[in-house]
Amino acid sequence: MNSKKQLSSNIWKALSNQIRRDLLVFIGEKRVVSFTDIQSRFGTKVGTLYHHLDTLGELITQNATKKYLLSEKGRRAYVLIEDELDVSAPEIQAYGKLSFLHTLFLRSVFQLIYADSVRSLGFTLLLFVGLTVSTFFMSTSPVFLFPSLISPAYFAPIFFIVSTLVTYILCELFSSFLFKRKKEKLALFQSIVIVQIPLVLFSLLESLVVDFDYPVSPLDLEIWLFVILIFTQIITLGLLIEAIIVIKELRIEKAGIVALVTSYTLNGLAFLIMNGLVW
Amino acid sequence: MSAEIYWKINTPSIVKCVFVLTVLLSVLFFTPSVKASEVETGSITSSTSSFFNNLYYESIEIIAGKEESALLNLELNGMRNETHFDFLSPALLRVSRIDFIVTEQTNFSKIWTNPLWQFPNGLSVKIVIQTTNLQIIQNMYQHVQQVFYDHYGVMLEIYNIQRIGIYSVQLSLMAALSYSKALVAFVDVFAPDNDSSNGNFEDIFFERIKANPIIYAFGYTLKKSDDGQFFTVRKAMLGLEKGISKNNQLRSMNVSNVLGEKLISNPRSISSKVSFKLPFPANITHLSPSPDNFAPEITGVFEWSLRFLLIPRFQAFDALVEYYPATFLDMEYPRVVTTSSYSDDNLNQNGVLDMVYSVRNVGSSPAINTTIVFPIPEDFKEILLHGANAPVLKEDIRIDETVSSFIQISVYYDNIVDVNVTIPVLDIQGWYENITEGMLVRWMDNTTIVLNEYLEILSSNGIPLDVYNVIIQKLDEYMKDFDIEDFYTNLTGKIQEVYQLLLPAINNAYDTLYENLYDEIILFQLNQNDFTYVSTIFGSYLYCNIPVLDVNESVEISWNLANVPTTNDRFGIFRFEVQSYDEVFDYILFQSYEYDYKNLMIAMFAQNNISGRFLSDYYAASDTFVSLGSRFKYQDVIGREYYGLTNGLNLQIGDEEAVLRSTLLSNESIYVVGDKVSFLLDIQNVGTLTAYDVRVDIVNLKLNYLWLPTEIVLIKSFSISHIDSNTGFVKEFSINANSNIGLNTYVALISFISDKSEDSLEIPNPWSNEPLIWTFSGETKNVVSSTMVTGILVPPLLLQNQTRPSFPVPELSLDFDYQITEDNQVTVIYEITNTGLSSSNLTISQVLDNSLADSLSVTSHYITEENEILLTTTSSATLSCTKVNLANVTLNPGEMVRIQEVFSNIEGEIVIPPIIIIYSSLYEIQGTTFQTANTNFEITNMVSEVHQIKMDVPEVIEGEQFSFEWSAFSPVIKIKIPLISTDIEITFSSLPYLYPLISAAALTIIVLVIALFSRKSAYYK
Repeated sequence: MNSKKQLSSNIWKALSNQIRRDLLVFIGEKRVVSFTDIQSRFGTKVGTLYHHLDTLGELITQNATKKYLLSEKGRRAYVLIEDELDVSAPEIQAYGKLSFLHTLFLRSVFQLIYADSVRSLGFTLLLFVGLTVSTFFMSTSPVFLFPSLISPAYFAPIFFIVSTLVTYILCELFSSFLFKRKKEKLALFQSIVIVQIPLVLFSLLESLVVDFDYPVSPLDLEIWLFVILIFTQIITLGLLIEAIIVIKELRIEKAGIVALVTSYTLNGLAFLIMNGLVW
Repeated sequence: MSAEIYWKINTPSIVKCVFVLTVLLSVLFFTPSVKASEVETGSITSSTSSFFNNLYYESIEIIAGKEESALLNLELNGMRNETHFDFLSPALLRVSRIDFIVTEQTNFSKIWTNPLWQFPNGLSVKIVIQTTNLQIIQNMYQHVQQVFYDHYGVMLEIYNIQRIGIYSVQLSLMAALSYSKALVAFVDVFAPDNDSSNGNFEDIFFERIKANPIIYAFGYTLKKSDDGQFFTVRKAMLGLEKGISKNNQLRSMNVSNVLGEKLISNPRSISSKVSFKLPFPANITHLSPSPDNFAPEITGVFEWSLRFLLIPRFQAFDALVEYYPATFLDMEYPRVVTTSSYSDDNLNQNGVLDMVYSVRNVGSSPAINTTIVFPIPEDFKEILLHGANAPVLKEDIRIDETVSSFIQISVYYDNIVDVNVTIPVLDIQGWYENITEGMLVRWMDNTTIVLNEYLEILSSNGIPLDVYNVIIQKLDEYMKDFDIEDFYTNLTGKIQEVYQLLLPAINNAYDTLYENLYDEIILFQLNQNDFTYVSTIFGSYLYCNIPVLDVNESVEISWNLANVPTTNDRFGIFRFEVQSYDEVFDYILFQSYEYDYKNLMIAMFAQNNISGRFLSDYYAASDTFVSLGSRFKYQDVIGREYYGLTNGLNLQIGDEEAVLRSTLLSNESIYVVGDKVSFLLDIQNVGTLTAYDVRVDIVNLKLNYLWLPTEIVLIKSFSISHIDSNTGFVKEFSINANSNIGLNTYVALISFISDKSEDSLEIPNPWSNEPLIWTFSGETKNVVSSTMVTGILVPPLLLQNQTRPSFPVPELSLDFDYQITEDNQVTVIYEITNTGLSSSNLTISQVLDNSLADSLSVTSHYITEENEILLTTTSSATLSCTKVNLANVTLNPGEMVRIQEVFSNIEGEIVIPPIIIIYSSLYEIQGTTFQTANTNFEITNMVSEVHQIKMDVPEVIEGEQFSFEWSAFSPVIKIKIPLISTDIEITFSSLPYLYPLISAAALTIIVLVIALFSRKSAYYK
């Protein structure tokens, strides 16, 4: 018991300093690093660096080539730090001077959903029904990230529902598989509904003002239309990342990975479905 | 000094007038029918063909639409065109014409009263193929379908199929086309020569069409000529909701405002033209620069030639017209009527073609500066340029054709027995007689003239004095060294020597004789009288100016052509011919005989291929002589210009002819659209033959800046089997004024056949006796115009002072809907409503694939406020399709036709082609519709059409007033039937692979940037 307390105390001492925490994360990410790598990364004096490495003590070790790597304790500590970073992610202003992007990407809305996903369920379901109905009247729906004219018209809402569900399942799957985040499923589903809003709006807008056939080459498309499409997808991805950050308590890099992998899969599916390659 | 200023200062108005006048013929060179074009080699292996026409005509037209809207119209005639077709492909070998059209005119009613181009929305392809073999047509159709699918990803479907004549079929195909693909098509059509070195006509349209105009249409036509070469015309039209500037009631139409920049013509274009059009009456308050056409203020048409015959006139062109809407109801203006005539007696008896113009002002205001211009036709010009001199016998000299004399030289020598050689020299047949003195001219009666001991001249009946003189002179010289022994020894050679000596001398003798017997006169001598003759590089013309012509004042002016040979003029022909005597000696045959001048003239015409029609132009395309008379223009007291035409005369000098002189008169000077206007048509045959197969077309037309008839509207026709010589056809008739707002000018175009069934004349060449053929004396087709009637047409009360087309035409609004029921039925409902101001006869049809037609049941209802009437529908097979006649009904304003089509047992995808609505209007429906290339010069086309009609009717047939026809189309409906249960097919917009790739790349980049940015800024501080 004492030894455990002693160990814990040493670890807390080692991790009480920001530079040492960064050092531990750096070695944890890189797995094996030389002293030169560490020095070039942190840029502090050699003496200071050795002091911090010594203080990390049992958390790190050296291999036969004298390169640093995490010990078993170090790996546990690294997971703790990572977890702490993830957990605190919803509170961190990730975009620096562009922190207003969090507002744009509806962080506060996702936080509300996260705070009480049962209470917000009514609102999001209402929204979901509204979006679904609108796709019926316009015969258009986003097939994942791409707006499409769907015939017969009653398949448009079906595909919107399918699109929402698939997006949700993929996000849930990838965040669970990659980062072991399995909680808050209801909140994530509601967030995915909100994430769909710009795509639905773009689909409706485009169905009103222009024809819905994609030109053979994107270069033939009016450049502004193409730019708006990509911009809409970026907004959608921004919302998705923000939702994952808040709901799944993942840092922006991890949320980005989940969102990106999800979007790749969705793009591939959209291509197959819209070109009739799946049936 | 800029080109623009140079033109204005140095070009007198009459020169400008004739500049455009005399190019009437030269303009023919611009017509696509005479263009050289080629399919570039290399198209054999490529999947496209490129065409290049050397000659190039470009024009931009800006038309004021409803309110502040404007229509732009572009035409490019020639230059490079690249198509997606490989015309060497077997499937296209029989294709003689392809029209490629893209239109989007759904919202035409915001700008105009009807769709401007008569094509369904989307991509249309019209193909004329010279076969009726269905398999060949099917192969061609599939080939074209594949070509368009490859390039635009659309599947063309048949929407109409028609026979063209006996051997050709016109196939109309169409497919829906998105705006983005329409832009691609526009680039395909116009890009090949759209660069800054070719001016900015095309680029301006490209920029405008990229801005998604409210309506647009563009396309090209490729037409194969008889020699297998293609020529091309490209056109584009687009509508702008805000094109005309408005400041209170003052409107401004300005090139740089409407088009966004000044116009720069293509340096390679032979002719560049810009025009403005106002389809309603307007008071023009500002107009710059001065237009090149005539009567711009009253016609509402303003034309500027930017470049002509490769000569630029403006570097960068801008024009401004400012106007108020007006009515023209109370205006007072001059109306000048000019008739031209000649005296047949004077021509035939005295050889004078005396052209007299009677100029009369029947208007209510003085005519200022009336200028009458007669463009000299080609044959006339040829005679004037090269002259035609003819020898004419002196006044008291005649030829006695009975006189003859055979002249020989006898050589004898008494010391040598049997030597008495006679050398034939001259055989005279016919000689000149002085009728005053009653004796032969310069003639010696002596029959024997002894020259010396060896020689004597023997004649059977005397010898011409001048011949005698030269013989004496030459023989004297010869005898100086004469040796009879030598002569005898070398008899044959010596006789040839004598002959060679005498022959040229005798020739020379007749030169002396000619001077004593003949005077030379100039045939066809032009006396200008009241006119002035001007010849420029553009042509020759006669013009006359009358400074002021008061109300009801009449003036006669004239020019004449003197020394026109007649049958009364006797011409003394003389000709030499070398003859052989006993196949041993040559001698000269000299013939003198009388010949009438008319035949001499005909021989001259035949030899030089001159028609003798000095008042007509020949149009080879229709093998017709056209005489449109002289043009004239005049102004009113406030400077507004008007124009007119005198009657034409199809006179032929040298041949009997049916010559029609015609006047068309009306007392109406100002009338409202729809008013009855009365006319008196008087056609007199002042020729000597009967005119056959006479067809009179009353047309309403304008004259453009080249004095060429344009915007021709066929109003009414008369067919008359024949008009005998010295008889006439007089007819009173009335029409509803329904076309060409503002200056409203009517002309009767009379086409007929003269010298019917007569062959070409064969006439001997008076100098050689060889036969000459004068083809122009045989049967000929002629067109002559009557005098032009001038009036002012004003809009109906409802449309006065409005900025929109002034005719109360029917306007069709078309709605459609469709439903799919569970039992695989598709129900399509079309509702066509007349939302316009006048009634219309509608013929509604649809061409369906046979299998689709089999599954169709259709009902049509004519719906008025009071009741609903079921209409009869029929169907008939047309080649491989079925034509369904959906309705044939008169639709009054506010009334509707509802057509319900039910297609049963449909599976999978069906494409329902557009319904075709042909509707008529009593009033002019205006458009800028796409037309094939050779329609710029309608008068000749019209002539050719007129002469296809051969009649064999003894009486006069009067046709009804023609109405205007237009077309409208419903959209194509493409339905994928959601089949019951498992057979439902779901379709999505097709997604090209590049889109997800670009999307994934963009998203990855953004996320990476954010991650890196966030890592530095937030987590690792």
